[in-house]
Amino acid sequence: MSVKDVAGIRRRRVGWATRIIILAALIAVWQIAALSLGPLFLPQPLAVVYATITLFGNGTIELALKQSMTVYLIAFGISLAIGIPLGLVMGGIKAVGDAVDSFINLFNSMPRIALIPLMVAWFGLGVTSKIAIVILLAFFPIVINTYNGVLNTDKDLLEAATSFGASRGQLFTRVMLRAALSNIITGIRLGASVGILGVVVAELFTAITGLGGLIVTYGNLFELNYYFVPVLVLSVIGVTISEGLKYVEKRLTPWKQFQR
Amino acid sequence: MAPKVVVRNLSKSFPLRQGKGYVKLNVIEDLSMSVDEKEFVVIIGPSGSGKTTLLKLIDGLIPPDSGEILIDGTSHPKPGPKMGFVFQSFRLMPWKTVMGNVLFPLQLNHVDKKAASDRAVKYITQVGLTGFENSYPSELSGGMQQRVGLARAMALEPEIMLMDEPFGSLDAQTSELLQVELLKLWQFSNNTVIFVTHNLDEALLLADRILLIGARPSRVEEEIKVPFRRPRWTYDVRSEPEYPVLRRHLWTRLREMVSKSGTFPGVNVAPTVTAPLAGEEWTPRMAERG
Repeated sequence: MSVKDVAGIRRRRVGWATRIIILAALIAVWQIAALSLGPLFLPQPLAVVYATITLFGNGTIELALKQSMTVYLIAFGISLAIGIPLGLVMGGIKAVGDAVDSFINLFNSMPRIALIPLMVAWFGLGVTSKIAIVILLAFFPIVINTYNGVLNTDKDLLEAATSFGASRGQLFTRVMLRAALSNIITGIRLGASVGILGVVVAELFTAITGLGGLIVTYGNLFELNYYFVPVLVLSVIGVTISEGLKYVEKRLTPWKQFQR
Repeated sequence: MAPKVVVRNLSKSFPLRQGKGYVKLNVIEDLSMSVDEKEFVVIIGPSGSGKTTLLKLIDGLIPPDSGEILIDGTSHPKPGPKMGFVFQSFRLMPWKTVMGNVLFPLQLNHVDKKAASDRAVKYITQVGLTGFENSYPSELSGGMQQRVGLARAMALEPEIMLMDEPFGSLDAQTSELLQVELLKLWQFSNNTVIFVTHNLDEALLLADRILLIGARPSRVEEEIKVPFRRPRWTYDVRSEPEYPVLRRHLWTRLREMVSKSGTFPGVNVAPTVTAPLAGEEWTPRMAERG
């Protein structure tokens, strides 16, 4: 084992220790704040723990999670299935890219949450409408990052491949796609986290279901100890997805580990 | 013997931004040269004299404005396995390992899988990178990266090697080492080499013939046969009696050319030449100091 490895391990241990100390401090601050503000403003940490046990025990969370994840997975799947190929075609065929680019940018710069009433008008208050809202949010970061990834392929590498006799098709599949990979994964990660946001917003604005629905219900009832449970569940889902994709990126782009 | 590469009255210009529009910057004008089969030709000239452009034209990466390039008597060269390019900036695929990078041109040209991997191993061994097959370029030093660049170009077993200042971005020691290794590799492969540099010692060590090309718009100003016997790694070429004479001559000619350059068509730039400081080697880049 080299000296560098040992140092790396020590740094990691220090990192975890620091995190645990910060977490403990946050809980302490929370506890003090809860005691001085009262349960109508902020429930005590222990109350949230009990609420968590209750809501998991009686199946409330399970049902809500199922509803939310169904919407999320379908919408995110559709965003990927359309967004990545579209970004690739835009990057690979200049005419398509030039034509579509400005419209994508227009939609992306628009505050898309403003389109929720339109989605409700078109698709009603049910699942379809929710899926449409999530796609509206998750789709654009995926297309834009894929497109930019392909577009920003190093020209020198393309020239090198051309000099070895690469055809246009080979340039696209063997160079541009690989060069874009890390950007594509970034797009997927952004899309995934915006998608979670989309699910909650959709559940707030349409028929109240899922984890977002629980948040509104308990919030309106001032049952803040229960209210915090879906909030925490959503945070855990968000972190899991983003860390999972970081891991996938690391596995798919092993050469990046050495580019520090 | 019929020449391998013939260049006739070649001209190439690029648009140069000037105020609101563009003017034509003539990079190469009416350049003619020829290279024999199995010959090692070094093209030397001041920086900005269109040496890289010339290589790209020969490879068929860019089309000429006028003039003709014949490879084995056939005009309009196309990039492909017949010519292997080694770039100054290496240009390795960062997502491929050493093995993957050397295999890459072979896969592009649909070389049979088994044959390709045999060849890749052979050339990786030849450039001395055995044991590094699974390393990524970012894990290698500059010298090692260029060894990969060499192996990649040679694995195509091209008839012509086009080398664009391949050792120009390496430190002096590494580049001298690689020059000798290139000599050895070339001795065995015996393909035709067109090698661009502005390093006089490199040119004198490697070349059968040196073509001196002038400042923009460039053409061949002078042709110098290099008399040293081969193989040249077995003795010290620099202690040959002709060596300092040739070097002095090249040095003077290059200096003259640089003093004439520095003028773009339509642009007023005073020629700037700096005399070498005492004990300092002259390089064409000095002209850029101003």
